[in-house]
Amino acid sequence: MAAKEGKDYDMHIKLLMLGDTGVGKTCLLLRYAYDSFSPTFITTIGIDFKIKHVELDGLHVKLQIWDTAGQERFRTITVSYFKGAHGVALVYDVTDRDTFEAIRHWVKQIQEHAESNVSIVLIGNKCDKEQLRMVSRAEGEELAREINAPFFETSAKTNINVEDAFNKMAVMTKNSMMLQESTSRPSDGSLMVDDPNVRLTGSGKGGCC
Amino acid sequence: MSRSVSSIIPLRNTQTALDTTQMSRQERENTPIDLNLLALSVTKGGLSTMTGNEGNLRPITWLLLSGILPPTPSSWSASVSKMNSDYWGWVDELLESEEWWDEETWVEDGCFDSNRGDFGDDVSKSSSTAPASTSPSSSPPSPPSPLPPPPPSKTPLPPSSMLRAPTTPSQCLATEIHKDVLRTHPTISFFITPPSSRWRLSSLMRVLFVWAKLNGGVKYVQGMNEIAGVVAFVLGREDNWIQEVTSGSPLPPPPPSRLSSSHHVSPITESLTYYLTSHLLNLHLDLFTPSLDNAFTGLSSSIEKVTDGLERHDPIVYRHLEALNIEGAFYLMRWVTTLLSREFNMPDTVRIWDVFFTNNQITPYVCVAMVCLVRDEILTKDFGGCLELLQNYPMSVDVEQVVAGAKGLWVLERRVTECRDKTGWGVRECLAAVGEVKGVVMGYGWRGGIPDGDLGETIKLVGGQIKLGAREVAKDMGSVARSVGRGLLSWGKNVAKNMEESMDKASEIRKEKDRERNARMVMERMREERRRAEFERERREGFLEQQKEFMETELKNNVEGTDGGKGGRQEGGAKEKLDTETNDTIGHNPFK
Repeated sequence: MAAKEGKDYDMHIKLLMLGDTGVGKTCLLLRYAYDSFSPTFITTIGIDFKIKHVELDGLHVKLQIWDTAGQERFRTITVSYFKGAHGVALVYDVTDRDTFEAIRHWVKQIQEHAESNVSIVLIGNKCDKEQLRMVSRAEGEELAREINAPFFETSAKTNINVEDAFNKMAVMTKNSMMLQESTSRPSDGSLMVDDPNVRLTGSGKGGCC
Repeated sequence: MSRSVSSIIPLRNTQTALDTTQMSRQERENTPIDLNLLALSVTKGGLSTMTGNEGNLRPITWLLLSGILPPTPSSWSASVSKMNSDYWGWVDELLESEEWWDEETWVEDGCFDSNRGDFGDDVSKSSSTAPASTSPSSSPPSPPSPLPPPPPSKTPLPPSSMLRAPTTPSQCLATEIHKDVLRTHPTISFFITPPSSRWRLSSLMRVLFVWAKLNGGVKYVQGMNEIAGVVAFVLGREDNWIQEVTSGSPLPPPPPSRLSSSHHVSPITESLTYYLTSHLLNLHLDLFTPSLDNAFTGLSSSIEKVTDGLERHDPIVYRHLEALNIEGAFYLMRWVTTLLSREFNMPDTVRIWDVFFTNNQITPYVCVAMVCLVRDEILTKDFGGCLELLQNYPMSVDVEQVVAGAKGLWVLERRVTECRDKTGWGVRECLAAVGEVKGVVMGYGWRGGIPDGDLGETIKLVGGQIKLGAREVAKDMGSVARSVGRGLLSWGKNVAKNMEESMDKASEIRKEKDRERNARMVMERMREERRRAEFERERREGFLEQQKEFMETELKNNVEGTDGGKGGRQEGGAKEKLDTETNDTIGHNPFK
């Protein structure tokens, strides 16, 4: 079964959504995965998953996106899933200063628990609520430079920049993985996703590109 | 007892309800409700109808089964009154002391309605004045921060008290709860239809805030809102059941607080919502405590209980999920911490909770049954497919099957364990011996918990085992019997010997007694003979006396007359005759 599954994509990427509770991680994901925005949103408890298949530079990429609960309480359990993630979307809410301040804390968590070569994208969500903004775009850009991550301001509600942000993360991750492959290092743990059967199948092609 | 229960709980096929007139009201109120019988009725689906009067029985039933209401209806009123005044006392104390708390804030239209379609928040926290002063100083001069223009009228802002960013721990707590309260069961009109949704969410907010303040070690954990939401729904959906627990007597009004005049949730509904929520949270407290994640009752262990159960009962599905690297936590973390309140629609959730209230250890079995019920789908799916299925549990699954499956597994496990303990047989043999348990989807690796393959063989095998077992038992019994028999025999012999001795003694005594009796009889006869002899002697003496007198008279007459010699001879003749007679009768002659 898993072997069959291996044939319908060239590359498998594991992405992680991190950020404080209520910043709109799940909404961003729903917008990206299903292009939908549900007015009925619920609290993420533990972990949610979404799968999205995309074409990136001619490669069929399967994105496995892990949506985590924002609350501290679940972190003791969810940090163990940081391992093996290829990319992280760090999300804050532009109308909530605290969530922005917490980004540094999240970065620390990533450094502690995720792979060292993990790609990060910083996302300031809810940019449609201009009148309620508490974090300026410039502040977001500054922080992005500081942590060496591309920066996007998005709105899941009005569908601004959502696809761009995710695609950027996917492309970065893909390139980083291929670079690592092409250095002909045997694939170490960092390149393996949690599923041994769902491995990078396009590694040969990756080398060529 | 049972009458009282049946008058309270509608059994499936009966339409009896609280107002039944089988007993007088007073009689009914003074009869304690049999909670075991009540639980049995609830498990069987006694509360599954949620319409009309019957729907009103669930709040009281849950409150009874959780021990919040005492079993005797006559004490409900006093107990509810106390809880009501305690709860509102806490609200008053905990909320009044927070200057920033303003009940009106939480019921503002802007908080609960206009933005509900948004990301779930946060007008309450937003500021109309961008705090430029709090921007990181390292920030380079940026294009003029888009300072907020006056808000459009369609997005009314909450009162100024809530516009500041939260600063105190209580404010942070309230903000955290507020975010989730807004996201509680957002598909149910109960929570989203204005205007009732506003005061319902406001009430939920207070319940969670008070609990978090009173349980400072745990505070608020995401998922508690879902649990409180189900309780609020069941208790608040219709609140005419309140009359039953207050006996219609007016309760003291809640202590003065900053409750707005637009507070529409009955104070009693809210205080009892608090108590029932608190009961459930306390019961599962360890799930919400990170430091106890790996303790026996903590989150990780609770998840393991389910995966262990799955491995035991459906090893094929367990291995499939394991091969796909799907850890239990991926889907069970939510199942467990929200008590399954997010996996079904509300009526089904409530039905599952009925079972939780009757058996608070059944949660893992419910989870295992849920997985088993979609096993065929799981087995055809990959990592993503399986997770999607388990994280969005299909509505098509009949909740009664879930309940029956969980109960069935619970019963099967207990019976098999008991069988193994008693016989030492293997699971397969025990399963065949236990037989079919209703509702089981997969049990110990077999469909319905019935070993497949050649069942005849199995039964023969089990039969052999039983025969063997029986023979063993018989053998054991024989030896026991022999030893008992030996004991009995020796005891019997002793008894017999004792008996013999006793009999000997008895016979001795009898002989003795016979002898005594004989002796007595002989003596009696002798005494009798002596008496007769005496009597004879007296009679004889009397006669002799008469003779003597006669002879003396004769003699006198002869002496006085001429015929003296003649008289002498006659006297001698009489004397001779007397001697003979005396010798015959008495054997001795008193004249000798």
